[in-house]
Amino acid sequence: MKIYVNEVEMTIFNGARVIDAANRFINEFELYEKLRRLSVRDVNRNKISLDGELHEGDQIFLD
Amino acid sequence: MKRHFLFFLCLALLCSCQGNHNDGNAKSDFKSDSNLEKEIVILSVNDMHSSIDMFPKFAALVDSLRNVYPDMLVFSAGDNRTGNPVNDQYNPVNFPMISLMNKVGFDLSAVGNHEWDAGTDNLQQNIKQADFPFVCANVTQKDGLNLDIKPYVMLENQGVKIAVVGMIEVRHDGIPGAHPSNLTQVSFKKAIDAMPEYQYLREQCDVMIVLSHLGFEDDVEVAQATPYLDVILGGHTHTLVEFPTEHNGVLVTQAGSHLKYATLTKIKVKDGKVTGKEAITLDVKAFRKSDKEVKAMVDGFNDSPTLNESIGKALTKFDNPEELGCFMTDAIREVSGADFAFQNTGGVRVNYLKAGPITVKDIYTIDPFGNEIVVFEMTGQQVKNFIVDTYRKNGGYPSYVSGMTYEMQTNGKLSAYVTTNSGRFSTKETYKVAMNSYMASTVRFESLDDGQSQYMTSEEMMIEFLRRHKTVDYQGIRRTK
Repeated sequence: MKIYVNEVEMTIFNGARVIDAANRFINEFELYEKLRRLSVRDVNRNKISLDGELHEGDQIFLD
Repeated sequence: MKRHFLFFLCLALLCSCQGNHNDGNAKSDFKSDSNLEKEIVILSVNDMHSSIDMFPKFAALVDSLRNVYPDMLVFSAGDNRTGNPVNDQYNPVNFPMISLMNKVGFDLSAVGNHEWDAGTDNLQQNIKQADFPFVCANVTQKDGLNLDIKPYVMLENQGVKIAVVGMIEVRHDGIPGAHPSNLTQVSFKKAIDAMPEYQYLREQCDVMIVLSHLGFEDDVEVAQATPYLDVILGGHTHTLVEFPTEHNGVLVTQAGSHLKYATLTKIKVKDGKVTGKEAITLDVKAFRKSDKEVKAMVDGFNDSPTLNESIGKALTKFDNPEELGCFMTDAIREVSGADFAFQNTGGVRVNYLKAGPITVKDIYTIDPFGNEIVVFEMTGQQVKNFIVDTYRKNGGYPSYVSGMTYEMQTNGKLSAYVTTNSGRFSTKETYKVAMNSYMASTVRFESLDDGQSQYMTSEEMMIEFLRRHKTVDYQGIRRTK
């Protein structure tokens, strides 16, 4: 399924969680320092847990 | 956080002077005068995911709030279970959570996608055990299945009629996020399509609520399409809506996950009409009180023999991580139905396991991460490339494997020489390949499809595998070079 992390389109497996998308983004762009204090928000700027479930088209933002 | 602090300050003040007005008669006095504006108060949580250790605090919070709001309702927006082996491996599964929800006095629960994780028989058992109903309006049961799930309930609180409709998320493939084998006897309709069937309830109630396990963005979509709703109390995406607001006139809330937060919603009703509504987020983990009786229950569950139950036997000792990795990948491959399974070496956390009984606790010690298993379709060439990619990612160590053996070769270029269990392997053939979600999201590789979570963790697959086979023997097994 397609999702968006920090406005970058990424393909990830169906049933992925926020942590999986964050891991994919961090590994893709080698932003490993983000792992130290990972905080994720949705498109409405609400905080979301790392084990939150993602769906096709979801947009998340790593702070 | 300031808002949370202010709330608890106010709560403490209200609690300290409760004796002046809350002597039990207040409730009936309030009810008797229909001209008075009524205040419906609902405490809602979502995605508790077996967080039994949070219940002593949560129970104390509920008690404190009930001192102030004696008619307060307590709702769960689903996914009560899945996330803690003490609850999820208990016999019967999920007994601790339902017991604790009964003790705290939940009035209602939505059905989340994880309510189906132990199958429909277990869900029925949970529903029977619960002192509160489960609601879900967009599920249809096939003939012969009689799960006592109601599409909605009509509650009466202080003389106010409240319709609460349950909704569950439905993915692009037509089912919620649960293993399809647990959903063979039920079918689902998208919430946006199911809601119009319940619009008639608006005429029969004073307050109309959706108790939703749809996820925040879908809740907003439902709010846009159904402005006749008053409130959507949501769950599923673990969204912490710190300051709930109205969307198209519908108040939409969600309180994170794991009982760290709760939402207190107040709905003012006068002459059968909603005159105001607001919600605040409460920081449950910051609440300092703890309910002793509930703590004793939780301690009892944590001390239960569940985790020390023998689920199988190792005929010989496991002498190194690769033997454990082979056991793990065999379990993943068999239970997921894949041709091959891979496991990163860092995901096996012990080097040794003695011969003899293997307990649930042993499994969670070998693999404490709770990663779900994902299955991809790959060509044989993509499988070979994946092996090389994981080898590189792992600093020159081969990942553990099942369904094949492989040898890393360097003839100018790094490659993998694969020998499958069947003896046949083609770079053009399509294979099902299972791995944990960590590997699926951190290793760069190509596949024929996007991959599909099996909604089972590697630990759960190992437990299932051991229960099927009873004994295992991995001494001297080597599959990679």
